[in-house]
Amino acid sequence: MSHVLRESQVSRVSRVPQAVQVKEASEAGLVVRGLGKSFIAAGREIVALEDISLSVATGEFVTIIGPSGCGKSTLLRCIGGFERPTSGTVLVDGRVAAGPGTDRMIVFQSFDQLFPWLTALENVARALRITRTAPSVAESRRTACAYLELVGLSGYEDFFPHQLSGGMKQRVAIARALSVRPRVLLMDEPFGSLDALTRTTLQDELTRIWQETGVTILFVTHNIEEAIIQGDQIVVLTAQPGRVAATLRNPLPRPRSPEAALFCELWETIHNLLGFRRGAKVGGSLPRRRAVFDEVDVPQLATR
Amino acid sequence: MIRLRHLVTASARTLRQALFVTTLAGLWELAARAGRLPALLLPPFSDVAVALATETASGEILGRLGFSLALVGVGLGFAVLSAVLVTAAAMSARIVSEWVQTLMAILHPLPGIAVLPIVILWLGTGYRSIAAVIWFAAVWPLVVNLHTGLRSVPATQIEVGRNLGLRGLHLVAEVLIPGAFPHILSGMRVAWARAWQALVAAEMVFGASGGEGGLGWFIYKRRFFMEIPGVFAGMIVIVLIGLVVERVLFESVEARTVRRWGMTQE
Ligand SMILES: Nc1ncnc2c1ncn2[C@@H]1O[C@H](COP(=O)(O)OP(=O)(O)O)[C@@H](O)[C@H]1O
Ligand SMILES: [Mg+2]
Repeated sequence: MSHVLRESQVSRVSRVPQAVQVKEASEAGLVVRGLGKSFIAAGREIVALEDISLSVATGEFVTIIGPSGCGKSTLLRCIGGFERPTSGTVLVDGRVAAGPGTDRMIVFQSFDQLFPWLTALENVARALRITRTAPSVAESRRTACAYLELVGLSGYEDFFPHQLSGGMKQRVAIARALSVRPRVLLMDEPFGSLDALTRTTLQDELTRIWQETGVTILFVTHNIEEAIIQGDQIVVLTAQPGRVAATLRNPLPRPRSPEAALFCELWETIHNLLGFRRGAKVGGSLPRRRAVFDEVDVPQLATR
Repeated sequence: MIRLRHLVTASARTLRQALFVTTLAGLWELAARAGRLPALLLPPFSDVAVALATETASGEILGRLGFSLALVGVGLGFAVLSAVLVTAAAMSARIVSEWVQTLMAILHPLPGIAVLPIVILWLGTGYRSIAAVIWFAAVWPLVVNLHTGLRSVPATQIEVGRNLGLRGLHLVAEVLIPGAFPHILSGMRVAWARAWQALVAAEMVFGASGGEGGLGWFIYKRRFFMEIPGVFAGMIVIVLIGLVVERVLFESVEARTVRRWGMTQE
């Protein structure tokens, strides 16, 4: 990437002192405020998440990156309404979200999220009927066809899940989740079980789908590269308990290539934030970042 | 092309099986005609075939068969109903689930026919008692399979259902039942086989005391009057029904559902 571009990216971003409380996120979209979650397991309390705050504006693509076990799934499940947070709130368009709802559709990592007794088309069409998004069966099939086309699965309408590859199954799951028109799409490492090639393809596809539909996406991954390629905002979580180490605004223009110098620097910044630099403290205070990203880094919300 | 070859090999197998059965019948005929065995103990196969034909033509066999199938239908129907209720209760409270499991451990090994004496004591010797024996023979395999089937549905699929707004009975109908279907189907298979066996056994015990009866009663009657080819004819019908239900009914349901969906366990 050219030096000029990088300068322009940097200058576009305001310089906000880290400790200063940033303005409240706008009402539209998803806001998570001070969310904490602890479990009682084997007789003792496990704090999975502590004081998580983040916001995803309507139409934004935000990624959450963190090591395995840092509570990413728990966070998504709290947002999705499948876990009750111990503290804090989840707001969708300013309204408190409690319990599962079609305004927050989750796409899971596991390949068994499709209903095996329904074809690809029926998996989507059935969701449309259940949620009464489509007024008739015929209408639901038409809409389902359109969504399968959106995810590049035209011609596979009548395939049962066991006849589809892992990547295709995830595509159907994305189509199904999108078809009921959620306010935010929650994705929990949806490509985590795919081979590297399929994964790259699906990342590009997801970007295209996001651009075509304008859907709001909160995407969880433990892969730094994926977090950078996908997210316009990257929330870095550290483990035990899961905390927001930083929220970075991604300065790279799309499509993002891992070869770009800025990409590498961002990668390294996140890597350091995750505590992988020798001598860096994990969890507690933030490790020092390299100069260039001290400027680029905009904490979107208070990181305490 | 592949389907055609599959069909050819399948029909070749059927042909071989038919050939084998025909050979057996021929051997039977020869053994009986050799004259060493009294015809009363082993009538020739041809006599059995004739008996089968005349009893069918007279409507006797169809009438008995209809009676038997209706009884099995009633017994199985009640068994399915109670298995659903028991499983629902077991799913709603852990303590009920424990009770059911204990009951199952105690009662499952007991053959249906073994409860007949008690059932006769309670309900008399009518068709109600036979239905009760069938119910008892079928209900436990149904409960076991329904229970394991429901628990085998992946948590992700249940969560997808909840995400779509499904709750309670809607969730059960849309996600849990189809997801448990492979187990439900094998439960139905075992239940049917046990019910059919229990039916014949119970009918034979009742014997002459009933005014009307099914296939078991038919066999009992023929033996009572020493019409041994009729006894064999009744047995053949029992075997045929078992085969038809298993091979035609259950196989085709399986091909259309579980195997089509790729939900077979193997
Ligand atoms: N239902 C639960 N009961 C007890 N502990 C749990 C439960 N779910 C998650 N945890 C704990 O919370 C932590 C975060 O888990 P998870 O959200 O799955 O992490 P990630 O998705 O980032 O890998 C882990 O330490 C895990 O053991
Ligand atoms: Mg996870």
